[in-house]
Order: sequence, then C-alpha cells, then structure tokens
Amino acid sequence: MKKILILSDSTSTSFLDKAARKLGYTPIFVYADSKADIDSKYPFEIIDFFKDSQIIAEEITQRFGKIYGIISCVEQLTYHVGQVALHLHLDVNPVESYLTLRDKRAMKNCWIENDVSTSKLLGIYSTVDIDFNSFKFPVIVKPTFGAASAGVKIVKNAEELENQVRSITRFNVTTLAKENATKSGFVIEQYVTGNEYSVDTVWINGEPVANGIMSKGNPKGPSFPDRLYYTEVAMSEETKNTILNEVYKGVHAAGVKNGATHTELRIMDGRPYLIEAALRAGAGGALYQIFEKSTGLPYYEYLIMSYIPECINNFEKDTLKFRPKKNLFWYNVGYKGNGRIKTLSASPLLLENKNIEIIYFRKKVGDFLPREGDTLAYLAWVVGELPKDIMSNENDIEKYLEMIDCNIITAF
Amino acid sequence: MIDEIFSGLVDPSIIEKIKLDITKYENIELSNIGVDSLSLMELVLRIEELSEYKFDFDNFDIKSVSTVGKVLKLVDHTKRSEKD
Repeated sequence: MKKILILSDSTSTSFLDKAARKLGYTPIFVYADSKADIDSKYPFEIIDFFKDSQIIAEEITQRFGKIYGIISCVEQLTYHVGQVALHLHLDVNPVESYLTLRDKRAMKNCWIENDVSTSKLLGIYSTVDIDFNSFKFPVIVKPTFGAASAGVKIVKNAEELENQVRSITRFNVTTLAKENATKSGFVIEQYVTGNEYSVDTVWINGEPVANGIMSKGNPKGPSFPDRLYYTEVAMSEETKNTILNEVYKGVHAAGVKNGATHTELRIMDGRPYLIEAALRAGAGGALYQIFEKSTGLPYYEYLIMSYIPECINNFEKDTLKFRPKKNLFWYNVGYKGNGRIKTLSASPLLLENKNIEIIYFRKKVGDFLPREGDTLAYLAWVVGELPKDIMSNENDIEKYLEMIDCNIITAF
Repeated sequence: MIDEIFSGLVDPSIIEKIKLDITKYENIELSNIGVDSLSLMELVLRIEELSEYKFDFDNFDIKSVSTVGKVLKLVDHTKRSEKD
C-alpha cells in the first residue's frame, strides 16, 4: 500500500481520492485541527503542522510508516508542509520558493528583480507608522500574508488608507497569530485595472504540464473578495499566450519546480500584470473539477503526481492542453452581516436551476461567519455552467450572480 | 455589554452563564468558549467599536485579550476612564 498524505478540504476530497487510487496510491487526508472542513466519508488524521517540522516528520513516520508524497492545497500550511517534506526526503521544491510565494513582500521583490511584469510597488511596511499622505491615489493596499484576497482594498485617499491599514493589522495580529505572522505588515501598490484572470498550473521538473485558465471579469472594488471564476471557451490563443508567458516567468522566478501554483493577473492596455501567486492549487483544489469537467482531462491525477518524487522522476506523460468546451464556473457567494449562523440554506429556485451543478456550503449552522472581505472566510461556493444567453454582457453576468447571492439564505 | 461583546461569537447559553457568574468565567480562555482566530478578529474590532479603545497593533500582545476577564476589564476600564 503506497500511502500519500493530502491536505485539502471537503470540496475536493472525492476527486483527490479517486485520482490518487487510480494512480495506485492510498490517500490519507490530513487536517491541521478537528475544526477544519473535514469530509468524514474518507479516512482522515489530525496533524498540527504548526508544530516543529522535525517532530511532525517523526510523528508521520511513526503513525504511517513510509509515505510517498505530501500534497498540500491549503495556503496557510504550504510552507510548513514543505518543511516537513524536506525532513521526510519528499521535498519537491526549494524551501525558498514556499516563502517567496507566501510572503507578498518576497514575491514582489522577486518579480521586480527578475523583470516580471507586475503592478508597481509603492511600499512594504511592517508598522503602521507611515505617512498616509505621501501616496498618489488610488492605490491598492493588502496584507503581506494573505489568502482569499482578504483585506485587499482599493483606497482613494489618506483616510481610507489609514482605515484599511488598521483593518489589515488587526487581521495580522489575530488571524495570522498561529502562523507567527503577526508582524508581517502590508503592501501598497499601483492599482491595475482591466480583465482579471487566474491560472492554475501543475509543474513537473520545472515544466508546466497542465494549465487551467479562468476568467474573473473586471472586478472594480473597493474590496476584492474571490468571486467569479469561469473557463472562457471564447478566449483567443493570443490572450492565452499573453497570460501564460508572464505566469511562467513569474513562477520560474520564484524557483518552483514541482507541484501546483495558482496565479492571479490582470491585463491592462494589452499588457499582463501579475498580482500574486501561491504555491498550491486554487480554491484548495476545487477549481480542478472545473478544468476536468470542461476539458475531459485528468487534472487531479497530474496534481497528485507533481508532489510524489517517484512520479516526478519517471514522468513521461503528455502536457494537458487547456481547451475548455464549456463556460463552467466557480462562484464564491457574497453575503451581508456577520455572526453565529442560525439558519443556512439554498432556495428551491437555486436548487432547481439547471445550470447549477453543486452548492458547497463552507459554513454550517452554529459556525461563526466574519464580516466579508477583511478576513479568510467563505459562506458557500456554487459550481455550474454559465447560461449562454448572458455570456456577451457583463451586466447580465452580474445579475445572474446577484440572483445566486439572494438565493443563499442566511440568518444570524 | 457582555451581550454586545460576545453575541454571535459565543454560544448563547455560555453568554448567559457568563452574565450569571462573571467571576467564575474571568480566567476562562476565549478559545475554550469557542472563540477562534476568525472570531477573535471580530472581538478585537468590537472592543474598539464599543469602548473607543484603540489597540496599538504594532505592540499588540494576543495574551491581552486571551480570557473573558481581560476582555471585560478592557472595555470596562476604558468606559470608566471616559467617565473620569
């Protein structure tokens, strides 16, 4: 029995389990604590990856014996898992690459040094003691250690900047305490407009062997929570190449050789600007089901192979060509309010909508749901196919998404 | 005030118990009554909104808000200072 450890969440478990077994591996799903989003239908273990990595490696060996690979789709754990993998001789990337793509300060500096096209950096700060009036507005301000676009905001003046900096530092000292990133600070950068895209890439031996490009529309702020991602059938080869060339440059610069990356970028006046990248699959792996359904190709198998040294060393398969046949979407539902959830459901209108395939509730009754935008939290994800009659009009797409928001019913 | 601070973050039955016997809950860690890192961020925001206390986040120590008693004293102390 060849065991592999997989860190993800309940939305991807079934897909990862199936893919792992098809490759001949027995997956053990691992979560950092018992309050994580656990799919109890599959065998799982709790391992606190925030402990000393050497100790965790010894614990893993004691509990499971020989392990053939560790796959992490969880942003906050990626670096720690990389450290543990090193102790187990299962490391697939230089340790520096995990840090570079977790810390926006390091990421930004890396891209600037390597001439990767990215929004202009206006400052990186670890203290709130800055001159808020010294910037030409609007600017984007964001936490140095983030995820799910938490805390990212466009601000138009010094007062807004000061307020958002305060919100980010509050996020840092509370939500990032476990990751020991309380003094990680914030980044101020140029606001880049234009259509936004995400690119999920699987890397093996420094080569991109699978890509999934999602269109995100043109989010205008002021906050930028993850919202709509969809596979755009009509995307031109020219746009794809523009996107992929800069993404490859950015990820290569960070030193990534294997595993999955998730990169976000905008195209402004025909030029791509990398916003950020992460060394893990997008949406904890959930976007890969979209790629598989839209192309018919085995994305999850490639994802898993890219973290297993023996698969990497023997890799001879073809690169997956990303040619989506449907406009499939993943949508993070917007919500108002915050507090302990009393009721949570989807209306019959939504449940019976023929374009909607799955609704994932990321919270349940009794869970705490924070104010949207300033921290890491999702209420619900909806996966489906965008109706053909709305594809040519941005306003129609927006109305469709508002309909989804209105039909996820929450009470606090 | 206890309701305003903890409502939505902590189970209502625990809030009622705190109100009935504050002394018993003074040294209880927030993590033991269901406050995780996400809800801690909301709690810190509420302390600021309810008491107009401004945390110095450059020198913030998470232990300063780690128990029920510390949170209540912080809000109460600020309110008393305003009265003085």
